[in-house]
Amino acid sequence: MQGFSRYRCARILGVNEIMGEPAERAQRRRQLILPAFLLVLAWMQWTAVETSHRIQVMPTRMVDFAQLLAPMLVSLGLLRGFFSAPMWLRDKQATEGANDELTIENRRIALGRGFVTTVLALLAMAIAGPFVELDRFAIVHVALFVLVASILLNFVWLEQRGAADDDAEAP
Amino acid sequence: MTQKLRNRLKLYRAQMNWTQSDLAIAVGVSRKTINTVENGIFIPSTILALKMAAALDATVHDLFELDDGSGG
Repeated sequence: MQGFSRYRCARILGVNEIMGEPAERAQRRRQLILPAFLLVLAWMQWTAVETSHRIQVMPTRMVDFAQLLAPMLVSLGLLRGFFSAPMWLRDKQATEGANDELTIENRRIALGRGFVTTVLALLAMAIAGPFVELDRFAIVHVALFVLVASILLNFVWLEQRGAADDDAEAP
Repeated sequence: MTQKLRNRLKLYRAQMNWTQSDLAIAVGVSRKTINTVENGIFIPSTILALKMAAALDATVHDLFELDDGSGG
């Protein structure tokens, strides 16, 4: 295909007309947004654990149920966003560009590492159990947070690979 | 024996006077993917390797070869 423009080449190869900048912007936005939501999740889980302690000595209110449920819903939302964020409002080409095969591979690695990290965290809590007083509700929240945080942070870290533009210094 | 995948993407890109972004657009992936393939971080799928070879007017064997560390 010597002499063909990149766009002509893309048409011949049957790939979508692209993306480029919008896809990279979407990837960068995703790398910023996902860790920011982790802070929200950490705060919600802290509130939920406090609530779980309070309802053991006081009558349960509707707001307590909401506080206990919120971190679960945010975790689910974050994991859902891990697969699609923040491309909900982007066009199809940009979404495809931001979810190419490198990103799919990064997701696969991040999910694997997240699982292993969570198992190790549970193991550490099982070992610490006889020596430190751990309530079951706190264990569930720690495990949930470790799972979501390790998946997202691993993914963000993996997505940094290749971010530098090797052609930038070329004339 | 550990085998690595060596590639000549940069050379072929230079011959066509293409940047990583140009090649990324031609084969329908992000520039990051091209960068990681070039730097040996990511091993592309067969489909992507074939697309890159077609875009750069080369064969997959021209672009990629196994390096078993023997220097040959």
